[in-house]
Amino acid sequence: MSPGSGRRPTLTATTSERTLGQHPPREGALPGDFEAWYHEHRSVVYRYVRFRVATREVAEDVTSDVFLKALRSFHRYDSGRASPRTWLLRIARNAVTDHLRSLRRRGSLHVSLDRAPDLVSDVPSQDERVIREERIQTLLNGASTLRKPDQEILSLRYGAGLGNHEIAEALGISDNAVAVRLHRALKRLKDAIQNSSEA
Amino acid sequence: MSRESDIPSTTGLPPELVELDRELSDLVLDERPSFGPELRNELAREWNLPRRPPVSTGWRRNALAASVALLAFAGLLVPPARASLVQGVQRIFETFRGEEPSGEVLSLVPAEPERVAISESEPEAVEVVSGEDIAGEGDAPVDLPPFRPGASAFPTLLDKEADRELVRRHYPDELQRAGVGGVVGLQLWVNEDGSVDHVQMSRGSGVSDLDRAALRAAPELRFRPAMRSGVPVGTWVEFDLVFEPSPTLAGLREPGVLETPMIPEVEGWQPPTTWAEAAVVPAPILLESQELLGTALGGDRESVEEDLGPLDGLLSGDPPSGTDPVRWRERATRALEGARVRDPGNPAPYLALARIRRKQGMRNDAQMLFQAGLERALSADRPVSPRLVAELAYESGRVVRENWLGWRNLGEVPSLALLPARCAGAAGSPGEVASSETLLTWNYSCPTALHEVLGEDFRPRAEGDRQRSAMLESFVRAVESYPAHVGANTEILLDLADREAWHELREGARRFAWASQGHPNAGLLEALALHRLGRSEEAAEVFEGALDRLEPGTVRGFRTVELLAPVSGAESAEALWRALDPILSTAVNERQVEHWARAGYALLRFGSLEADASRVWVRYGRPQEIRAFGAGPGLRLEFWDYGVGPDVSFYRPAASQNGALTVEGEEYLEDLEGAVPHWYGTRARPLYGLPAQITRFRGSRERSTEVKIHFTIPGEFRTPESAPELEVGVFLLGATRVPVETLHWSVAQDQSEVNLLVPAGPGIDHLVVELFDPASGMAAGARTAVSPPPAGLSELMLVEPGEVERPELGRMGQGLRPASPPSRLSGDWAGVFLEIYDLAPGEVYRLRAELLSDERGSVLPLELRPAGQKLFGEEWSRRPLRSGTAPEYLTLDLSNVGPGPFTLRVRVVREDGRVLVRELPGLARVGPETGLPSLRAPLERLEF
Repeated sequence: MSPGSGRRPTLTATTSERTLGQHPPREGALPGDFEAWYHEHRSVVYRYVRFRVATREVAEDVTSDVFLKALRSFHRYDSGRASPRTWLLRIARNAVTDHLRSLRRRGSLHVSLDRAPDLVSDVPSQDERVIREERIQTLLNGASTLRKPDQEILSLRYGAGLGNHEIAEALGISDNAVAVRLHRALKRLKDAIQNSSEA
Repeated sequence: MSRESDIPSTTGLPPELVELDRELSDLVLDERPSFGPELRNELAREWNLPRRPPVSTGWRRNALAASVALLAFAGLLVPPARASLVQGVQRIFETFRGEEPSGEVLSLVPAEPERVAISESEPEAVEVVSGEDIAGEGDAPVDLPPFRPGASAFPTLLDKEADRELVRRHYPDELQRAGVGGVVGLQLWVNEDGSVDHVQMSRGSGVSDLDRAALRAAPELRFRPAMRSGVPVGTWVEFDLVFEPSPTLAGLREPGVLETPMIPEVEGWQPPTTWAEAAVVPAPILLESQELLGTALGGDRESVEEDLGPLDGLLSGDPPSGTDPVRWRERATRALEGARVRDPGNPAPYLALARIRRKQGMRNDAQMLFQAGLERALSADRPVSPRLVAELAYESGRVVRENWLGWRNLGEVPSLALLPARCAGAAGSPGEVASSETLLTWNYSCPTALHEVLGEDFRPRAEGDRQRSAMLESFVRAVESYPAHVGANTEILLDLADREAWHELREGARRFAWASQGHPNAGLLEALALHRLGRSEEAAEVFEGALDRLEPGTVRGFRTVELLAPVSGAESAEALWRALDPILSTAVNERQVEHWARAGYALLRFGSLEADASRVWVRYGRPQEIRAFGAGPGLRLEFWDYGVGPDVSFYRPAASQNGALTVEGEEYLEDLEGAVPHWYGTRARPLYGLPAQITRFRGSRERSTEVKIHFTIPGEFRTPESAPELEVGVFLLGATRVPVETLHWSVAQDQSEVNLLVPAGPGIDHLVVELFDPASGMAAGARTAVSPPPAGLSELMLVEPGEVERPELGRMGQGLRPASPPSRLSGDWAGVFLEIYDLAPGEVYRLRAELLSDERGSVLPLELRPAGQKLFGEEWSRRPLRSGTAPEYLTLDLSNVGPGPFTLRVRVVREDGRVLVRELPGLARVGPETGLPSLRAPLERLEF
């Protein structure tokens, strides 16, 4: 699988829309529980990925990779070893790592989040919107400078929206360790943001 | 839309983080509404495909299919465009040899030009068909965009040099050497900014390492983007990446397997005790090359000598003293160019010119000239001696080496990795890559933080690998031509040492020793290999032989310990080594041999034992890792990582082996003087921990101790390879840790237990017991302090529980069997033996025993039963049979003790109210053991 690297050509997004528009959606069945998993966990996976990559386009690309990989290795899924969500998140973590590695190879690991509009919440005025946008950029830029384990735990927490126990399951550590790591990661994020604003 | 409600609140956060937690929880990271259904359909299609391609997401497959479809209709309509791309790509990686020191051949050409496909990025212009439509039924897509050749330009590679270097970098050396090449079909999306996104492999080479190399290399290719109506657009490009093994590298063997056929079988051969120096020094080369140069100069020889001085100066590139070197080199160049024209098949003018170029710093020119000289020397027209051929190859290799040294261990760290928060007080680094000054500051201010950064973010630059291969190729050629060549042999062997290829190093060194009739470099390197292979006795012999053949001034650094400690002279060195001997059973002091091994390597690698690098190497051994960073033109900052604390830092010229300590490095070493243990690595023969029970009793003579030693011979000493008779040595050490008395026993390998009682007189401070296998050289040992003798109570000896009659009781062990291994509490009972000293006649004392849980810190009283009693009780009052020493054998009831680590404690309350306590730590409550005990981890270091 080639890593979903960098910006996607505009071709792809539009193409898929055209696909939908011109051809009626090809209804095909997905195997077994996969359909249910997809609907249940897609958003969690997407949000986890989105927290860690620069743009929505990349997040969509990586998420696609995740589910394709999952689909292809669906027959190897062992319910005794992990819940579907944990399994999907593990694939997602690897996919994000692949993506970041491909960026690193190209020397652009620390991409600035110059396109963050999809992250802006519904705020009333244009001014507030701009301020909010800047703040989100600061937060995510700060997070992207942290060490990988810190990024991972923050994205499981604030991206995927998992609770401590679910994070513990995903990372294979104790609940208590999650609380400690999360606390430290937040502290380091706060420091990183402060330092960047002082610099 | 807020997801606040989705996220459980993070409890227990300190107030200063609560706000941040809330902000992050409020982030909206939702998908486009249509994303979910689109992807679901893609997945369904993927699942229902009759034939699934190995790679590609739905999006990409569609786009790719579009490009292929376009090709079917439009590809053949654009010959000029196709030709331009083909030409562009073909020219990228031309055969390349000799211009650059890293010369090799790589090509990147489209294997099937007709398949080069271009599609355009505007979405409305692309019809989407799925892959199977094309491959399966050949359905032609409809509504293709009209192709407008005049309005478009196609992507071409931006910097062919850089791309050639890029592909070269990713081509695995071992495949090249093995002559393995292949073609990898790729499809790339070239963005409107010329960068590559979405690399896909359309056809594998059949060699997975090559496929991976292609996939790694492709995203780094840079193009001039395709243009449409003057506007850059993204396009799909399809082409094949061809990995062609370099003729210069293919077939090049790692020097480890170098075979020099003219050297006969050398097994059993020993180097001569004296070294016939004159036979090896390549002085005849000078005469030969002078003669050759004279021939080339012809009738001009006299005038040239008059103008430029004697021919040997011309051949070495050195002007006579008092001459302006710049002018001299200009005139010398003219004269040599003339000679080259006059006698084109003569290698001598090339040799002389190459040396002049090298002195002028023109390494590429020099290397080309050496190569040209080499070709002439090898041609049949004018036979020259193998020595001269070897010298040309060696010098050529040296020039490559200078280039390689610039790359060796080189890498960089992105500035952003050095977060100011991780190193208070350190300034950030401007630019993309951390500057050497910043790294130096971090190294000495925040070594732990830097260590983490280097572990995660150090990006090594692999460009040097190929130069190293080219260098070794030249050296191998020199040795193949003239097997006694000292410089080339030494370089090849040092490279083997760097790769820790000890068997190959030993073999190569012996071949070199044979060819050179015992050159000391060969001895130093063979001995290094032997020592690393755990054959320290043989190593010591070979070292001694080599040291006898070295200059007395050089030998000093080996024979003294001035590089290690502020003591001088060979005698004090001897005393120091004796105290540091790690394995007393062996006939050799492994620590001293380790010193020779380090000194030998440092001498050959860094040229002198006085060099800064040698001082560090001899004292601390080989670093775990060496990393180099660019530090300005032609300069490298080198970090030697010894694991703990800051790295030792050097500045070195890029083309040199040898650096000087930075000011900070010098100061750091001064701080370490005497403070850091001198590591005795596990790189040579280790001393394993022997699981022995050692118990100290009071000796029969005044101020003497008796030591009871018991162990079961571990399984590692009972293999078919082990000697049938093992050696047990007990070494009684004086205050300087030098053996005062030595006792030896032989035990049969299948004798399961060893039981010794050793008296140690007043002058003895320590006792060492070792088990040694003379067949394999494996050694295991245990140590204890023996002075002063125990007072009041003996130490506790753990014994097997059982019935023992009181009158038979004694430390000699009648009826007692020491527990083995000495740290396990298994079963419901344990036995413990001890002695109580200095009892008055008729004195009564009380006995208690308890277990301290090392985990919980709790105390668990034990029921106990002294020898000769029938019942268990928590406390016993005891009246000994006679005054003086009373032996006690206690059976302890462990039936209520759960698993865990424990310390056994016995309390004796004397009649006068004194409480005597003795503890036996390190016990584990576990199930019964099966099989033989195993050795413990090696005792790795000695304090210096």
